[in-house]
Amino acid sequence: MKTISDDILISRSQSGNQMAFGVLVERYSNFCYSIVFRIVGNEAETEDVVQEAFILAWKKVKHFNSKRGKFTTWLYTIATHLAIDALRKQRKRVMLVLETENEIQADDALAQLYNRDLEAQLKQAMKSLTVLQKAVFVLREIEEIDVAEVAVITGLSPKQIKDNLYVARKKVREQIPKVISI
Amino acid sequence: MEEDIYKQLLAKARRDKPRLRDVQSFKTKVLNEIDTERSRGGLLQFIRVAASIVLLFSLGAYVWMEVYTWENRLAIEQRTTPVSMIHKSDWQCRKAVNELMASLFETSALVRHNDGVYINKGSIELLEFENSELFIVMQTVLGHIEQYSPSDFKVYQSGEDIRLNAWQLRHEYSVCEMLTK
Repeated sequence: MKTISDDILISRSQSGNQMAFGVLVERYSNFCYSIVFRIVGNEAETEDVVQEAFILAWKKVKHFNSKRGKFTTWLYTIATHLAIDALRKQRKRVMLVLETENEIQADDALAQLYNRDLEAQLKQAMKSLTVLQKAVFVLREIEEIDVAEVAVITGLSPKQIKDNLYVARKKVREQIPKVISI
Repeated sequence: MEEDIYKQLLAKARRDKPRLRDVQSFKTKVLNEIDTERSRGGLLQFIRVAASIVLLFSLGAYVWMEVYTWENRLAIEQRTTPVSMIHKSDWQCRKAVNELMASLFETSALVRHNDGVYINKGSIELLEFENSELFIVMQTVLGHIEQYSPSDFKVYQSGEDIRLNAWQLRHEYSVCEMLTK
């Protein structure tokens, strides 16, 4: 079966065709999910954030101009920003000392359960990163998106991306022995 | 060692991307939510438009009332002799017309009705005896009525009443021109 191009689907979505937008959802939901999950770190919240991102994309798709950039970059920008917001809210919620302690204990237990799981180890190591460092690390180091695109998505300059990535790599490397030893 | 594990972690993360459990059901959820938001948005839009219309009408009514009462107040409060009614600006013309109306209200020759007066051939004749200055002005006004609204003048000529108010004098019979000459 011949695949309909993104351009056609976008222009149909811009004229209000929900079916066309549905195809775009099918096509890019997994990639958005991957980015958002790595930033937010929990399944239930990730699905909500991705859903919100697509709803926002539907509302704003009329203003999307393919001359200004790729559709995927535009979509990942929306998803990343919502994920960053969600992570910030999440971190505010665990600001209370008691809650933080409980979470550490829970996380320790989790880490012990999955101490052989590399994915869980990476997730654990990434906990020390700030919101922006985490976003840059996920987009650049894990998803391997090029610097120019990461700059558009995060709104940071290439220099800021480089700095954040340097610190993030360093912090993750430092955390690895601690995570492994649990 | 550390470096190896770091590389392994990254390679694993790059290879095994987290995925949605069921893309189809996720898509359905998104499209349903879009439908819900759309209908909600339609209702909000309707409320917004209705509120704007009500607001616009209220504002219009308020402005109209303000102008109406202002004109009435001027008509009643500001009185001068008809001879001194030589003004240049639009506002002054408005004031002069209101002064003329006030003078007309004062005479017993004419019958007042709300913001205007009824005139006919008989009442104008009475006015000649009561206030000759005002009678002269009214002669000129009648000339304007004949020029700008022949149908009204025809009614007047037939001996019936015609109603005069400040707005008519300014807009229909262009009395302003006469006052600014």
